[in-house]
Amino acid sequence: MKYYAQPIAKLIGRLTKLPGIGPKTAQRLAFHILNTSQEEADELVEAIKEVKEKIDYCTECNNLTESELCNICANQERDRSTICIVESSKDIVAMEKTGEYKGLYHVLHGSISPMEGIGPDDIEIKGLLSRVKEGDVDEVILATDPNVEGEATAMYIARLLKPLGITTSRIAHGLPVGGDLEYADEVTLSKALEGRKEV
Amino acid sequence: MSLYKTDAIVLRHYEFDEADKLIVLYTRDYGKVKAVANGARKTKSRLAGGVELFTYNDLLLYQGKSLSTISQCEIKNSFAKLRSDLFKMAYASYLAEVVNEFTVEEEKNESVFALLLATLHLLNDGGDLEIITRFFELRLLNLLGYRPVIDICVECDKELAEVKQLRFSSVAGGLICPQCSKVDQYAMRLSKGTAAIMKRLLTIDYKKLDRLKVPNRSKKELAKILPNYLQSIIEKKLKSLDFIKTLTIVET
Repeated sequence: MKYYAQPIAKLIGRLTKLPGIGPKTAQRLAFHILNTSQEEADELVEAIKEVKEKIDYCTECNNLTESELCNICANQERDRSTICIVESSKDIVAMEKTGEYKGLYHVLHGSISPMEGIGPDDIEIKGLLSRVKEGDVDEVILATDPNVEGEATAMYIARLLKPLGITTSRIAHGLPVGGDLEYADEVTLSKALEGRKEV
Repeated sequence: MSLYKTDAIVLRHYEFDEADKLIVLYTRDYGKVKAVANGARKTKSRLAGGVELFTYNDLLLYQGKSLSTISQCEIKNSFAKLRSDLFKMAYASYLAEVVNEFTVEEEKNESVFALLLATLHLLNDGGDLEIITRFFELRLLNLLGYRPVIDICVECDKELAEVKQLRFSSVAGGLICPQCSKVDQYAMRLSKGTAAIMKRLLTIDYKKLDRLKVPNRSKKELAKILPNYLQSIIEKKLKSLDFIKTLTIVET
C-alpha cells in the first residue's frame, strides 16, 4: 500500500540513508523541505552539489579543500617545520580551535586496525614520508586518537620516522579539564601521572 | 536478568550513533555479548577507558530489547603493554578476532574465557609471542571440538609413530600419511618434531610455556599450518594475519 506520493516517498527513502536518521525523522525532514520556499530548497540542492563537485584532497596534507592547496598549507605565515598528524579532517578543526598550534598538518584518513583489515598501506602514510624527506621538517607531532588503533598508528609512524632523525612526539594523555579525579579510569590516571609537570 | 553483572574482555568495538560505541564482549557468564557504551567516544566519558580493546573488566550491564547497555565498569586489567608494543597489539588483535569469529552470541563457555584471559596475560608479560599464539590456537580448537588429529592418519587410522613424510590437511583436520596424500592436494608438509610440539602444546600448563623450546623450523611450519586450519574451519579470512605479516616484513 502506498502512503505517500512517489516523489515524497523517494525523498524519505534517500534521507533515511543518512547517518542517525530513522524513518520518522526522515518523514519530518521531508515534510519540512516540502513546506519551505523554492529558493531555500534550491540552495540546499546547490550546497550538496557543490560539496560533491568542488571538494578534493589537498595535494600536500590530504585535508579537504576546494583549491589545490588547503587554507592551512597555502598560508605562508604558518610554521613549515612542524607537521601534526591527525586521523581525519574533523580533527584539524578541533586542533585549530585551540589556537595553540601554528604548524602544518597531515591527514591520514583512518587508523591502523588489524581486525578491520586496515593496514599501513590503506592510510595516507606514503605521502607523509616523502613530505618529511623533501621538506625542512624538524618535528612531527603524532595526534592520532588515544585508543588502541590510534596508538598503533602512532607507533608505526614513529618507527618509520626514527631512521630519518626527526624529533617525533606524541600528544599527552591525561585528565580532561573540568573532569573528576575519582571517576578517572586507571589507564588515564596512570598516563596523567606519567606525564606530570613541575609547577 | 534485566540488570546483570559479569567479568568481560573487550573483543571489538564499532562507532555507533553520535558519540556511542557498540562493544563486542566475551563474558565469563554469558559468552559473547554485544553491548552499547553510551557516550564512550566523548573525552569525559567514564566508560571510555573500560571499553578499549583487550581490557578485562567487571561490568554491570542492562539488558535491553536487543542489545545490552553498559551501565558501570571497573577495569580489572587494562593490559597496557599490549597497546605500547606493535607486535603485542597485532597478536592480541588476532586472538580477539579468532574468539569473535569462532563463538556465537550468548553461548557460555567459561573455559574459552579463561583461555583468552590467560593468553592475554602471557602476551602482556612478554615471551615468545608466536608460541603463545600457537598455544592459544591449539587450545581453542581443542575446547571447541576441532582438536587436530596428530597420532594417527585421519583418513586410514594408521599409527604415525613410524611413518615419515607427514602432511597436515586442514580439510580433514589432522595429519595424513603419504598413502592418503591424494585426499587433500593442499595438505602442508610437517616435520616429526613439529608434530611432537603440537602434541606438547595441547597438554602443557600455560605457566610452563616459556620453558618450551621450539626450533625455528617448527615455528615457521606451525605459523602456516594453524592459521590456515582456523581459516578453513570458519571459511573466512582472518584479517589480523595480514598486519602481522606486514610488521614482520618491516622489521626484517
